[in-house]
Amino acid sequence: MREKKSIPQLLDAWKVDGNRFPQIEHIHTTAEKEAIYAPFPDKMHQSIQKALKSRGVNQLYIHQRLAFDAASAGKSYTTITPTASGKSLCYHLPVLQSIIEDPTSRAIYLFPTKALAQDQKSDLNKLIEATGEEILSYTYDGDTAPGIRQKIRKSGHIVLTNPDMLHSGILPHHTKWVTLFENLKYIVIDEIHTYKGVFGSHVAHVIRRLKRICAYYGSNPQFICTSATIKNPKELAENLTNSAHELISQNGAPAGRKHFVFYNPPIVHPVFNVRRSAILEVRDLAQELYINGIQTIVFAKSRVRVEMLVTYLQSLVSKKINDQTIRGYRGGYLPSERRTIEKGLRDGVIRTVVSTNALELGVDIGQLQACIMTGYPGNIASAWQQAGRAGRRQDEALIIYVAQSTALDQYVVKHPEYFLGQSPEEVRIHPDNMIILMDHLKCASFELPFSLTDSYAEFSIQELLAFLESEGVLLRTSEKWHWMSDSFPASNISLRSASQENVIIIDQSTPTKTRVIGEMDQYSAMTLLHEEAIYLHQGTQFQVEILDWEEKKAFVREVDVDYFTDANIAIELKVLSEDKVKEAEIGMLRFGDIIVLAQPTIFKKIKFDTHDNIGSGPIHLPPIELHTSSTWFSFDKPAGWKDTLLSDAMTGVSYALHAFIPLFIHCDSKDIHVVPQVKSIHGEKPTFYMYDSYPGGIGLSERMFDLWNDLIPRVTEQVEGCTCKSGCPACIGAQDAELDLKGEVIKLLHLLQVDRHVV
Amino acid sequence: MSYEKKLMQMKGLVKKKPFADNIKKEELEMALPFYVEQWENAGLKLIKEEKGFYFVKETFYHSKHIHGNIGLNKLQQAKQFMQEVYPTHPLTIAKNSPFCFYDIETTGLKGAGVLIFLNGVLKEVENGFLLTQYVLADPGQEVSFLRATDFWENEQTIITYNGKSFDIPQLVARWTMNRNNLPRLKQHHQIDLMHSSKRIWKGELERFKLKQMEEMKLGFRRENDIPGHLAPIIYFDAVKSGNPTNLMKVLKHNEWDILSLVTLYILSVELLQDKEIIETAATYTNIGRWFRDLKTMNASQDWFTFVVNNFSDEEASIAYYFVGLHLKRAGLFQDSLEAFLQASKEISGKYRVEVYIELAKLYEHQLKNFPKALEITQRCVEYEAKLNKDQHSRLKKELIKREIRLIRKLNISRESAKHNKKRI
Repeated sequence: MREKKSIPQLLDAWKVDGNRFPQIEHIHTTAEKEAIYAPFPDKMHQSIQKALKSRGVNQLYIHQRLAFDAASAGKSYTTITPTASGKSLCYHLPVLQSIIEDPTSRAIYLFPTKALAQDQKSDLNKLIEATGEEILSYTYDGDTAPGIRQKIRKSGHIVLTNPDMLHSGILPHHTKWVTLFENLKYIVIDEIHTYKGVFGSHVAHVIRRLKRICAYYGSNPQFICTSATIKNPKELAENLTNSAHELISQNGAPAGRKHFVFYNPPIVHPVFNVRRSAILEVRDLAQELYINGIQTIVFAKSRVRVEMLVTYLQSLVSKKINDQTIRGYRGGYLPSERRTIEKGLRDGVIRTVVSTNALELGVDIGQLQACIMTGYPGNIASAWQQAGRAGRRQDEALIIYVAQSTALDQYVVKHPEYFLGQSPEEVRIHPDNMIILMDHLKCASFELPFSLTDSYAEFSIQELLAFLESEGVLLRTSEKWHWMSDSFPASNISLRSASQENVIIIDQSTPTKTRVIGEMDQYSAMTLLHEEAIYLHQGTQFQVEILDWEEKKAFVREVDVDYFTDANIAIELKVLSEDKVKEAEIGMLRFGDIIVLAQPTIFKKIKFDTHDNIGSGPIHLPPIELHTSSTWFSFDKPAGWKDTLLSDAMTGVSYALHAFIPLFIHCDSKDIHVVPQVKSIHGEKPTFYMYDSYPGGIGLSERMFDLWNDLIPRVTEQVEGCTCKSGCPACIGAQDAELDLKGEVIKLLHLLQVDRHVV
Repeated sequence: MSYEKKLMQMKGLVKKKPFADNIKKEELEMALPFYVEQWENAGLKLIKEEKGFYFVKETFYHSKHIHGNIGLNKLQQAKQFMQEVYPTHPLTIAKNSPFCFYDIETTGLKGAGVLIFLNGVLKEVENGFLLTQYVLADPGQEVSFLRATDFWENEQTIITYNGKSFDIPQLVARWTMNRNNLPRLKQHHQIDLMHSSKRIWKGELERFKLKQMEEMKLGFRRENDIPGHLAPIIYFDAVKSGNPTNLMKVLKHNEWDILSLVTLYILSVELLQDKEIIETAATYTNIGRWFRDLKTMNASQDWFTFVVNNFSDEEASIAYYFVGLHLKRAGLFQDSLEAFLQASKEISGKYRVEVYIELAKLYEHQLKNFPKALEITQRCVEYEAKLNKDQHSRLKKELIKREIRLIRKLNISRESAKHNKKRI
């Protein structure tokens, strides 16, 4: 039997391997980093010092000390620290200190998910136990037994919950939480970088409502936020909490050596510059790591890909009975299943886990040895979170980034400095979104009536309240606006998405034993759970037999086939309003509100391994509607261009635009869409629509309105600089060679450049 | 100028002016609602005081008043009986404690945005009872409306139907919402007749809505009653339109609720008091169990004996079981055994398992009849297996442990018997 290789041995072997070496574009190694310590603060209570010492901790990392000092000074603060750097002590220590000093003190911990809160509770309770103090901490969420809820409200010192529960389970019932709100000293918000876009904007309002309730009960809590490395943590925290924050960016935690491998799959079709599927490449790399006994996490972008990879990899162990060493992990698995997998990873029983970004967050799975990213996760913060999963303190860690054929991925694999250069994205939230603001104004009115002179956080709202009165929701009396509806507003407002009801997946393989095996949001369900779709769950294939869209149920049956399915979505646009117009040389740039109708059209059956298209069928589902903001550019049809050619060229330009916008304005590629129309429904001219993926818009397309002039030259440069002959996934998308579309796209791009000669 | 034309002109005004300009100074003062006259004509009385204003309706009932088929005059006697015989029972109104029957109507089911708009309070007065219904004049007048009750002045016993989980928490919530303008709410004693009704009629009634109680037990049938879930919309409409017609129906609904509280209280106490056969054996067994859980053992035993003496063996089988438990506790093992044997004839379900276990314990520990104990235990295992499919229940494990122990004891006693023979 072959001997197992360590990570350095493996890297050395790859460097002389004729198959591997040519595909490695770049290897970057970061040196290990020494810890920076600081002594315990004198005022830190003896029992906390004792608890830390009992864990072998005799001094603090510098960031933990700075956090403690900022808290003692009465400041709100935000820490940025990577995974596994002892960041939770940045909030546990001051919170415990405040409760030991004054047992009436209370704190709320907010985690982005229920699972994270439950994870953190066991960690916190161990710490509390070691102090020997009587401090009660509880999770409070949908799973909390009714029997202990009252106890938590009255005597829980630390309540661990999530924004959704705060929104619909705590704030609307604040009269039951008087003790908590009267004595609230700290509000801890963990992983604030996850609060972005619409979700983040909603959460910003939940926090504003929380502050309003605290003010009513006479408390003025400090905020403690933690964030992954992003460009604007302080700004985000301040925007999220509407309070001033101090930033603690120093990190005192040590780190081991890390090797970053930038891996580009081989070109299989030189003319089209098409590379071998990244999934197949990841499969091979993951197999190699598995065989060498290196515990690995593989990140894949979609649920389908997770399942495909699990299927591929499990063939490695198909001869062993009931082997549990290779597992999938993603949203849609039942909580108990997820707990088992997390434990398996910590214990080392599971050697390879394939996950969606669900494991990016602080779910406790311990530290693994290697991480493989299937494609660029869309933003730098995510990429670093994923990479952070690999790296034990003493050990060397291996992070392999496997590029897909897309433009963004190819850009990153050729420009490692983009990833390594530590210039992460901004995380933006947009609490001004009118839809979101109105939603929370209703909730806030329900919680505590506004007076005729009140404002709400930074917003002056009297006119909005008058609008709500005209809608029959509020009633104005001589002093206040009163809630006047028998509905419970929070239950109609979901923080997570516009469409809130999930589709339940029911396995009916055995008629007498039908069981629920998972759930999925509506938008994903349109393309993954349509009838005849092949749905993969833990590597098992199921075919969707009936999708009951009314009842939101998908009935599936286990099958064994050698293909998977992939669905297309048709997009229809309507302009609602034009808010800004800018004249350009050959066209007009406009910004305003639009309606997008998304409807799945057909699906294709694609064979495993070869990825051949082996059949297709229609999908019959109602469209999903999105109201959002958009910037669109329309121009006069250039002379001498046929509609079909223009259409193809515009599709190519859109592809390139969409690929580079995220790099340009630092957003996630799925946050923004680009849709070309040769004959726009609005104005009849050729038009590019760029719109935010979120209802109401979160300010991205508005930035495009300002940056449009700079964008086109950048895109042109990238397309012209691409080495392919006639278009490839890295520039304008793969093309049929005979058309030489690339030339036409470049021609069109030049036509589109406003004020080019001036600049 | 025609009415329509006026409206059209106003529409233009609203459109042009930003809203803030429309708040006129005089509106900020405490303006009476425009519907005062309409509401007063409907029978409500406006009360103005320094904190604001509220509406009230008072209704007097002479003590001879009969609601359903129960006279209100029986309350006095019921109250006295409880105070004298069962001073600590949950249904007892403590001596010297003022008391009231209380029921609210609200603008929704849950949350801080739900208002109480009707506080109905019925109290004893000379020659009868006075029902006072306080009505929230508009949502801005909560302080005045809440202060009108005496819940902040006098500690008292509040008798409700489901008040422990609904009416009182709502009252506390409203008090909290206006804490800056109200004196502290007193801590009151509570009697929740839904809880007591569930104790008394468990298994006898399917639902414990007050309406069902009225029809099944109180001989009262409502006519032209509005369904309770419409109350929020009706209140909103009354405030917005000024028309109180439907609101007065809600007051009627609330009045019936409160009168039924009084008669339900009377009936409940009478059932604890008189050993007459008007209810089923199950109901009286329930009462016996209630006393048992309250550790009022004598009363409990009296009720089980009453059931055993007055109902068929089948109806009384559960009562026999409890009589057996009581006798065992008193050390009367033979009598206890007989009661359990009696119970075992007709009893079924989980009680049958309990009876078997009790019999097995008696045979094993007190009467030292191991073969009999083993036989009963084995029957019990068999019966339990049919009842409960769970292979790993704690009960199953305990039963099997008992079986094994009995077999061992049996063997030992046979062995020692042999031994003794040899020696002779």
